[in-house]
Amino acid sequence: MGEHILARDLMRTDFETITTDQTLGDAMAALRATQREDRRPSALMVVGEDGIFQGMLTARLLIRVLVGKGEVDDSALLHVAQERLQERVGDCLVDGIPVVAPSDRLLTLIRRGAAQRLDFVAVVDEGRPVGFAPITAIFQAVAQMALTPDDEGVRFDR
Amino acid sequence: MTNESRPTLAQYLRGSLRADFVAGLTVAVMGVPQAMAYAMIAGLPPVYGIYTAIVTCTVAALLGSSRHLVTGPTNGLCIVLSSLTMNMGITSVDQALEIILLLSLMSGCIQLAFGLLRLGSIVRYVANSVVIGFTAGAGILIAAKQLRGVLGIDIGTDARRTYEVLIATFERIGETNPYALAVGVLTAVLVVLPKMHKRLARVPGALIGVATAGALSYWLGWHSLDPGLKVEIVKDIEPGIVGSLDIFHVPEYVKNPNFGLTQDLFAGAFAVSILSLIEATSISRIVARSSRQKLDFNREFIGQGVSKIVGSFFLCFAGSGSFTRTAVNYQSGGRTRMAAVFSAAWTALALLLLAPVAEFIPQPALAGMIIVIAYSMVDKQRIKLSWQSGRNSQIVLAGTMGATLILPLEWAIYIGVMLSFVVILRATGRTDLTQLVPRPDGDFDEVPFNRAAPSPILTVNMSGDIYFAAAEDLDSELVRLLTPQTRVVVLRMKRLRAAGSTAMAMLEHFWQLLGERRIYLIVCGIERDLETLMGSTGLLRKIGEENIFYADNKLFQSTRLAMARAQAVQRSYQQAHAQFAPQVDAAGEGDGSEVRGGELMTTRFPLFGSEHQTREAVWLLSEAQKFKHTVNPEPLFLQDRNGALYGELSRWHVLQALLEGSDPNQDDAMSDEEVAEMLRRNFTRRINHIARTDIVHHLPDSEIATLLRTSALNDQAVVPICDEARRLKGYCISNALLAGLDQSLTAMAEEASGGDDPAQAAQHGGSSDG
Repeated sequence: MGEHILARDLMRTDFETITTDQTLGDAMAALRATQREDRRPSALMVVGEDGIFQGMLTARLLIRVLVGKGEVDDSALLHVAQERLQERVGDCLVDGIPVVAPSDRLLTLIRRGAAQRLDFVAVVDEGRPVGFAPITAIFQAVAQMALTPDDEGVRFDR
Repeated sequence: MTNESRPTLAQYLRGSLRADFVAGLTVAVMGVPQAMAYAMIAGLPPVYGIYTAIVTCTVAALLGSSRHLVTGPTNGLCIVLSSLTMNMGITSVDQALEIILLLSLMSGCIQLAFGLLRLGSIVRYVANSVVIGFTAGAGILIAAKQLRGVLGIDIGTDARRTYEVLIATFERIGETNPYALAVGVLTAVLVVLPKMHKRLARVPGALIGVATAGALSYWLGWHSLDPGLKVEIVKDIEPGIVGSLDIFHVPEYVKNPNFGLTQDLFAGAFAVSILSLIEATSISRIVARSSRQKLDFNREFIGQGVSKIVGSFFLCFAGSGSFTRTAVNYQSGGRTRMAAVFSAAWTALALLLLAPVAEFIPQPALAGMIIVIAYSMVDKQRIKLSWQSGRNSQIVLAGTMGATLILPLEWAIYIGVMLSFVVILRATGRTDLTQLVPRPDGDFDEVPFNRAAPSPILTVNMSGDIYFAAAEDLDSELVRLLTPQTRVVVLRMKRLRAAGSTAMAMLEHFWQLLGERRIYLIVCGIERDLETLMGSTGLLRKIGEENIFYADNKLFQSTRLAMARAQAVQRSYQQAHAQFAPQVDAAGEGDGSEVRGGELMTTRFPLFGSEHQTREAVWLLSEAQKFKHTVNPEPLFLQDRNGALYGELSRWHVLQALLEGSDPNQDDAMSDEEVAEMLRRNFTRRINHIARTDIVHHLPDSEIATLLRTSALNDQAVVPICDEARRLKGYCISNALLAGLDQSLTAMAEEASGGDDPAQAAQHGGSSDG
């Protein structure tokens, strides 16, 4: 079955990690650093001290963590976020982060990734993060499989 | 590689043998007299032309690329060979032959080396006008030289250039031999006649002319008249043509190498190689256009080279592709390279059977025939066409033709080739600049450079080459456009070619100049190779990824995106009051506590109608991604018929829709083909059924806190920014919102600390890069 598209074929290995002991402020700084280079995955692998995968953070997930459930009004929201920057990453991990193994096939990648619809799906091997499969790469692989020359010809509306 | 089909022997015997056989015979009937005449042009006895038409033709046909090219003696090459040997103090035919064999061997080796080094493409850079000009000039020279043969006079060997030959001929015109003149004129008339009537086009005029005039001269006994009146015959210059094919002969200078002579002949051998290659490739290219054969010039080079090397061991002088014989071969129905081989076989048969008769061919007859051929070398139609093709063609044509008439021929070839390259450099060593002016309907008007009305945004369309020759003055040209009003320069570089390090240095210098003037640079239409070059020279990083728009297969798509970016920059510029290099996509400027959606939003976005099929959305998203170099996705928004925001279609939405109805338990059992088929099953679903329509949008002046709340509580990867009429103006991705948050927190921390220590403030607030 070596000819199938696997997670390892699509994943990017130039990812950044952050440990559970670091603060959300550190996570924000690290994410901002990845944003300066558009070609790098704008996401962080969260690992324990032993390097074992604990979760992941994207800008969207971090905003969700910092803003919380919106218990406060807009004027207080920034102050709440500011306070939360001091919290440990390990204490604020988002549940249900989709994870695949490097040998998982494309369809598995899609089914798991669609649950959270994040920009990246974490690829983990024996508990350790090995890469991010970007949705852009996943989508391109699907398009390449499914599209035929007859499907061409769509134009931008704008 | 060629696209030549390779039939089996049985298929060949059944399908092409007869056609090739007949075409070969037709070529030989026309070619035998030509070969003899051309040998005379080269200053050799006619039989060597026959040998060349046998051996060189066979080897080149079997090894070359063209199926129809007939190689052998050509008038152009023969006159060059004659020119090369004329002033070498040669005292005998044998000596001339040995030097010509050495020249042929050397030029064959040069051509073989060209082929093996895969330099076949260089002939493309030699203008057609070189061949036309050289052939015409050579035609005049040949005709001038053969006048003495028709007139039966001796002008010696000192006259070399055209005007010298003509002067010497007219000085002795009083010594004209009337019998020789009669034979020459009769032959010329008989050669010309069939050419004047379409119905006689296939009649071998040369053969009939030479044979008739020869028979008449022999019958009247003109070949045995007294000296001064006697009509010279072939036998007089080469007693006893041997009707034999036992012609293997190791050239004297191979047996006894003469390095001094080899060195002296090198420039000439090189000229012979070049001319031969130009002739062979241009002729085969013309025929290939009709026969639809794809040629491999490297293979043709090898074929031509080996044919000369082999030929030099069989008493053959350097040959090349003959235009007339190739055309006759093709028009007579020759289908494969075997037609040329058959023509060689027929020629060999003619040599064996007709050698005793050939001895009595009158030299004035051959001269008369050559003059007719020489006249046809001055191709008035092609000269006119070339002359009308513009100044560059005129320069090459006139330069080559003039050089052919007044200089040694090998130098004329070099001058022609050199002029070709100079003209190419003149034509391509320039970057054409025009300006693009956006129209209200979204398209652009292209106006001449520096003619557009002054505007804060200058859009320059660059086309042509931007290598070192062109880059020199380019930045000063561009700087001329700048006015105090200029805020943004957009360079469209899609039609640029041959960008090199000098061009990158120019671009960087221009970028610096703009920086000094606080003008923003955006580039668009960047192709892959230019991107690589800009990346390797660090220019991508300097200009900034957000200011670079990659080439799209839709005309002006990347220019439109670049214009949108330029307009956003311009707006931001106005707001910031000439603060250099404003950032609009990501926060980082202004007062953090008042960060608003309009400052964070990205203003370039694809909009798509909401009623398309999923298939089209897959294609659109896939195509759009091909021109992006980011792993971070950009959203696709849908609009309704009124142009209002309908929803957002993420890639995940599309993928989920494609998998709908499939059984996850079957995933691992399916082949890739089955997966593709399964994915296509949902291709016809309307995207308005799968898009997210509960997406919350905001106005441009919405504060960061509001946007963050929407993102978090409504779980939106993007927050659309619309106007009052719900028309999309831009969008904020999570990264931009995070940047806005960072900036706001930094500002808050600064405020809390009294603004004395920004570093400390940053430490207390955001991630310190705000």
